[in-house]
Amino acid sequence: MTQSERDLIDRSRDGDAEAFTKLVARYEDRIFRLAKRVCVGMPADADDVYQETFLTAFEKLKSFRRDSDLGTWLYRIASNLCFMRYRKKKREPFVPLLDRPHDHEDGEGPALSVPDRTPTPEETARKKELQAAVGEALARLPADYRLIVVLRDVEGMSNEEAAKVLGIGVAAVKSRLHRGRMFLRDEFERASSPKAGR
Amino acid sequence: MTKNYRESLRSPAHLKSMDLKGLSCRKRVALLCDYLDGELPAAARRIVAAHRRSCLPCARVLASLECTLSALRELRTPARIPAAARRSLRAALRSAAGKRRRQEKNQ
Repeated sequence: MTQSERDLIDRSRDGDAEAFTKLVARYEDRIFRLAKRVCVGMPADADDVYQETFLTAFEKLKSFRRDSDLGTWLYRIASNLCFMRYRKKKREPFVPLLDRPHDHEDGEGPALSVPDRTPTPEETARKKELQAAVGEALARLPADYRLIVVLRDVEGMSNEEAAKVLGIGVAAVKSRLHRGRMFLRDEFERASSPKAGR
Repeated sequence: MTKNYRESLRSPAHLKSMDLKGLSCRKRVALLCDYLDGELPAAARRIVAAHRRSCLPCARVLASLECTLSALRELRTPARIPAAARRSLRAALRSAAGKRRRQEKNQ
């Protein structure tokens, strides 16, 4: 944490809204992106999570430990707010993420139809389409898996950082991350197969 | 992740003799994800890379996982926060600060 950030936190703790607005400006892009990706399909909720995160932080800043990372703390508040919304609305789609034999047992499982991954003009042309497909697949993941995938693979956090944000162990992060990624990979496969979209 | 798998990563010589095809699906996915995340020790990484060249199913899983991760990274676009939400947050913060000042004054 830089000295200027420490100063802004101290002033914000004393109720200085202007100082806190400067902190908001440093983190709001990341928090809004997280809210938008996790509350996918519910734009009003993403706006609310964004606003509530900073209002809660302003209110609770006195309980923030100075040796912690402010970004991690804000991500934690935002993640909790996202979960609370899903719990409240019970909109959670059911997607079983059980262990399943993944296409692999020495050719005995279902054959993968993965195209050669060397970029081709067709692939380049479909880039946006595939991004949209992954975005849609992300929306079908249960919220706790989605949150981990977004923190790790969209926001670029380490497993340790994601574990701190979510208050769970690194092993739990990795386990959910692997399952979430494999689910997305399967969805991505469907979207990128030659028959998709025709 | 099992103790056995962790031990094998600490001891690449052990991993070298380990048959990746003999791993359960879950352990193999964990291993491949660690490989993609650059979390394997160098020696273990070389072994997985060699396995990738000789095992078509693993090569396919890795290729499609790489593609998926690449698409996910590209979702990290600028946030485009709606101007109304931005304004509303700043107004709410000013209001909260004013409320706090009044409360402190009255105490």
